[in-house]
Amino acid sequence: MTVPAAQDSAARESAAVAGRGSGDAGDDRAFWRSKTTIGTAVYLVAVVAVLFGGSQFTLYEGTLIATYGIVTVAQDWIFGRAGLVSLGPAAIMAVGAFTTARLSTEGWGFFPVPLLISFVFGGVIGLLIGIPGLRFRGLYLMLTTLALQFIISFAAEQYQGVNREAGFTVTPPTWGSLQLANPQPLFLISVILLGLVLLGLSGIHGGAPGRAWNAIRQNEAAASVLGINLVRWKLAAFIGSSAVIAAAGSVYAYQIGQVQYTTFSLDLSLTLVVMVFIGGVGTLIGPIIGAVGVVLLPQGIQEISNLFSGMPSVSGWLQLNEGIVADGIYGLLLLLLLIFERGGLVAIGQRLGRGAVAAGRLAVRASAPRIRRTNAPSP
Amino acid sequence: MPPAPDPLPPPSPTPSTARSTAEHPGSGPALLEVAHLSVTYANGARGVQDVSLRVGEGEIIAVLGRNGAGKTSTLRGISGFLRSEHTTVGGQVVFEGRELRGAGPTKTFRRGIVLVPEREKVFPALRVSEHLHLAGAHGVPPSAPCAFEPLERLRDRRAGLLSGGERQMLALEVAWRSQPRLLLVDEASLGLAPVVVKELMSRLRSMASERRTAVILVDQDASSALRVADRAYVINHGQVTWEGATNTVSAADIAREYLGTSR
Repeated sequence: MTVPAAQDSAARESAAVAGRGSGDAGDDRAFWRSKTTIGTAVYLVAVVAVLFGGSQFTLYEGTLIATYGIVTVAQDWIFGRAGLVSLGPAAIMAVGAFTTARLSTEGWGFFPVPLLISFVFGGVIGLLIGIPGLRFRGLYLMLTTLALQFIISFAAEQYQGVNREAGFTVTPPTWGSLQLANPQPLFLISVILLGLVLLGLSGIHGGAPGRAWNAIRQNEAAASVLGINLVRWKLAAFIGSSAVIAAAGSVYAYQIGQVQYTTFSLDLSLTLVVMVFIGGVGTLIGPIIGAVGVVLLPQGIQEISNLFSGMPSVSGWLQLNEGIVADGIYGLLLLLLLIFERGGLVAIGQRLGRGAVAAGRLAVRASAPRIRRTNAPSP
Repeated sequence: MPPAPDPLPPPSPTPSTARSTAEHPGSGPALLEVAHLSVTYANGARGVQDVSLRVGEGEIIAVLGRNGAGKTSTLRGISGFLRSEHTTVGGQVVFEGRELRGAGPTKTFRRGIVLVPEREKVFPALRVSEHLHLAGAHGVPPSAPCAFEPLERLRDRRAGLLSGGERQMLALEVAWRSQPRLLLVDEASLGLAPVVVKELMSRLRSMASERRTAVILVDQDASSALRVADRAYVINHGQVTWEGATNTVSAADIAREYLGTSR
């Protein structure tokens, strides 16, 4: 996805013999910095709006978006940054959720403790996925991570069957008289966690580790020629992303209050994976857009079915088949994006943005007098 | 093809075994000593049969031979880039007095052996400056001036937009910034204009003598490599068929050696 942009700037550089070329990267950086500022502002405004203006339901949805957002951003760490594959985010969420449910009932429920222990357990699971990840690539790695999804699902089912048929009830955490599992505090917890993850990852991806993963993703052999330790960096990506996903699983457990193995299905895993690609792989905002999609699309279908209230057969069908319609839309969207824009919705947005900027420049240039360079051969 | 009219000047074809350091007066103790290296790929194909070579500190040697002679396999056997490919490496690779055979690329890199591979040596989507950052993880700050000056004005350019010569320069620059004790360069001249190759080679020569870095140049183009190398090895069918000082031979002699005398 970077190639067209790169060619673009090359064309511009070679055209501008006058030597404006070097300004390109500087502009780029300033642009990104302003983007980060705008992103942070939008994030804060959205959080405040939902926190104070949102209904219970909006708060619930907001918490869900933030939780899934943590997962998709961490999933992108694997796909978009390190160039690895992992198909089992739901399984890793299950690790965090079960850990949290169990600890909360065992007297270890003092709030950040279960979250932190889930984080650590997630890291351990990441290490386990990472080991085959060192040997396998591409399709084979995908299959081993798929196996992990089934293994964890099976283990969770057995564990649950032995202990509790209906799953584990999570004891709501409290700080004194404050019920942390109430919609407002839980929403705050999830958005703070997401904010921390975004802040941390933008630092990591922008620095030396990000460059190392970028190099590994583009060309493993050339990366190791540069002295980049493939084993260390691949494991780091798996461990880090799994730890973060498990922490999200912990928040998720608090939110749903009842942890069952059926929740963390392959279906959820695949939806989360697909959303990373629909949003835009290799970016921070893309996976969040994906998470918004995961949560709001079924909601949107509900709204659409309400529009057809005059036609009970249509609205009834839509309501009955909400899941299937949502899956169909995900699938169609993914297909279209894979064919036309691999960078996902973010890249489409960037294209539109660039188009607007270019149009603006053209308009400015057309209105200003300019000196033309001629292509006459020099004597 | 005409048969080789003149035998090469002495030391003409010698068996690659039983060679002592006494044959190389003045080159000092060996930095790298490779003895009876063999490389066998998973499918049973032998990349290298029996290659022995030595490189002294600050010495530039050329390893020459035609396609498939085993040049690249030799380099990869030394640098440890064969370990992950189900390949068997036999013989000895002794670097600074320590056995390195079987070590992976990370280890050989830490010991100071840096490889510039033949292809895919830069990251197309990363800018030149980002390459310098990556290399900077090992000491040289990214802002330090480039040993290859033309790169200075290309710092903001993505590597995918560089010309072949500029890419080669970038690869060498990045390798150089890792402060190698031994630099392995695979086919530096491939696809480049002779003028560019000449410039690259002479730059490399002065850089190497400045820091007493040993360099192994693997090349099909004998003339460019011979111009800067102190000694040369010719590899044919996975074996060393000739070795000697470069001032005793011409490129044409060498070419005849690896083209004409396959017996």
